[in-house]
Amino acid sequence: MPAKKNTSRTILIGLDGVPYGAIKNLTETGIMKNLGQIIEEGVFRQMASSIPEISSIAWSSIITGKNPGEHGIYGFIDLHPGTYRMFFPNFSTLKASPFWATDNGTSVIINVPSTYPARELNGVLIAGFVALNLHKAVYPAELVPKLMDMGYQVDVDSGKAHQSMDLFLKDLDRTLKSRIKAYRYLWDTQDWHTFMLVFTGTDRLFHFLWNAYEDPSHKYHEAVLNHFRQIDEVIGEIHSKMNDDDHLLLLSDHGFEALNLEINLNYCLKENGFLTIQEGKEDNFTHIGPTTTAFALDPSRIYVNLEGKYPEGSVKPQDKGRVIDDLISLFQSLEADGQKVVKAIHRGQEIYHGPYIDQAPDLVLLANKGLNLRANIKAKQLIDKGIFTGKHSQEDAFLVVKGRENSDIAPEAPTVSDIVDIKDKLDLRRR
Amino acid sequence: MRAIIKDMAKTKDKDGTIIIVSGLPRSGTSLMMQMLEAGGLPVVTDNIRKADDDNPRGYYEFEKVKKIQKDSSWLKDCHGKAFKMVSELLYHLPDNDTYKVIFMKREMKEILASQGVMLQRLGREGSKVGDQKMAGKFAKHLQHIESWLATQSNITVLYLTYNDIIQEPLIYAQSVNRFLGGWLHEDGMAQVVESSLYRKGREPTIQRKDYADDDEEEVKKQLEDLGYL
Repeated sequence: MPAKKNTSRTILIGLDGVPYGAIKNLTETGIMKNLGQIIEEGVFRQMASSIPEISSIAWSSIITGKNPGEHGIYGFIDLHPGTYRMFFPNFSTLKASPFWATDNGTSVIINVPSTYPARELNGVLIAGFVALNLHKAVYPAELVPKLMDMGYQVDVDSGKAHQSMDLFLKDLDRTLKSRIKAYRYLWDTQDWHTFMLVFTGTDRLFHFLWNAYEDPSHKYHEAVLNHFRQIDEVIGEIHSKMNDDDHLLLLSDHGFEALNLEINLNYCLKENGFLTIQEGKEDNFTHIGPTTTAFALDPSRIYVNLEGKYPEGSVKPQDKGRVIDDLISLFQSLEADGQKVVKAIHRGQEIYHGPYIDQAPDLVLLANKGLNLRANIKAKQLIDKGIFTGKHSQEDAFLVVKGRENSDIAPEAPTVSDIVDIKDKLDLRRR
Repeated sequence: MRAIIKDMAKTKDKDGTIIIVSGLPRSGTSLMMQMLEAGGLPVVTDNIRKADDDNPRGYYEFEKVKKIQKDSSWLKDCHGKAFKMVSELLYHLPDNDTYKVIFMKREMKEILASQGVMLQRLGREGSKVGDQKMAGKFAKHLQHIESWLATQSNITVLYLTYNDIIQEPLIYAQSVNRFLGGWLHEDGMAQVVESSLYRKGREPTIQRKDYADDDEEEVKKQLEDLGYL
């Protein structure tokens, strides 16, 4: 490994799914005192996530500076164009270049979601969720044995939370500790210009234990806070190791809030005659029936079953507008337990732009507080209440930029697509 | 709602609808014709244009198609069969029949490169118009024909991309089969693509973009554990 010689660098630290409000709370109460100090002397903004507020989309926007119409990632799942066959978009599907592909310097990239399988770069990359095989998740491959020695785990096994919360927390801790080891090793041994480290355990924790975070009397409240204390120690450690002319950004990809009810959009579409499944067939996307006019993909993307676009597209292009109007009426009036479900309805053509707009959903729904929109095509009822106590929120990701002198660089109301621009401006300022 | 759903009489095209494979030249229309033939669909071709290095399995052309403006009487023998027609000629389809069009698309730079190679091999000069102008002309044509197709009540279209088919032959064989009524031999259709990729000197240039098949279940599980799907 080369000796460290660069002195003017950029560090990005990601806290997946941590909302602006939680950062405010955790820093003000001293749980994250190191981050609190950086905020006090720097810029702290509420940041808008992607639409919809899903990590695969948001991180793809963060690392490319592009919207889904340009980078081609619209969710964790998608359909092959021209088919009803589901696939899982990954780093190979990403159509825009991540910032490290065009930067002149060397990059160390650790655990950015949706960067699997790892691609060659000038530096090191350890892919994040969903990364199945460490050998395919790491570039260069020579690093794999070292990571295995450290017991490196790409992600906590969230399946454990469905068995035992204690098991889950133990695995979460093990994952975090292995990530810290990897960061320390690469920080010291690589001669880098950009260092990006993302903590994803925060998102997993909030999915299952948002209630514990909010409730001081909850059995796992301290466990949640301890996770943040450990991350804050790393932030403090990194801060103390920085050179005077290094830049530091901390950010999340989306926010989080309490989850009360889950709303099954495809059930709603079935009940209202928009979605049918072929008779006698299992409920899945490949069995969408020929009279279907619309269906949903996770979490809240609505697609018109358009002729030309799908093998059994039933809606003529000239009728698409009328179907969309019908869908908007349906969702505007949709209620669950007496509460309006949908807060906002966005048309894909209005919020996305770029060469991959033809793959965009026709509508994207944003839910009212406490309601989580899902597109489980097998759902047998409109409303579910599962194990999850937290859900993503769109408007309250956060951004911190070290140094008040950089306040002109961070927009007053940034979005996840602004990060590359902010980083580029910081790089220019350094020169 | 029901009023705007077009007639969904999904009769097997084996007996009825005329099937057309269309697109710009060198957009993968011959490959689609091979797939349909391998799937068991009768194809209409006169074999006047012989196979060559550019299309080693043949062009699947039918000379009469090119004269459709003057004579379309041959169409009566094409029910339940497939033929190839460049997109420019779709405008001349008589409106007293119904058609299913598989419209092939391909990345423009690949279309232009493939046309260039073919012209060179034939010893012909390429267009005097530059690639950029040609790409603009093609794009304008595609925009126009797609708008026009959208308004034709007797034509049903499925747009597919050559590059996607190369990556996932079976998935697209299934999609085409579904579009045409569901009686074609999907494995045979997919095999045509696989073998065309590995024919002499033509290694596949595009990597599969998915997780490996055996990984997909694990990805699905991890997403389900977090409440997705």
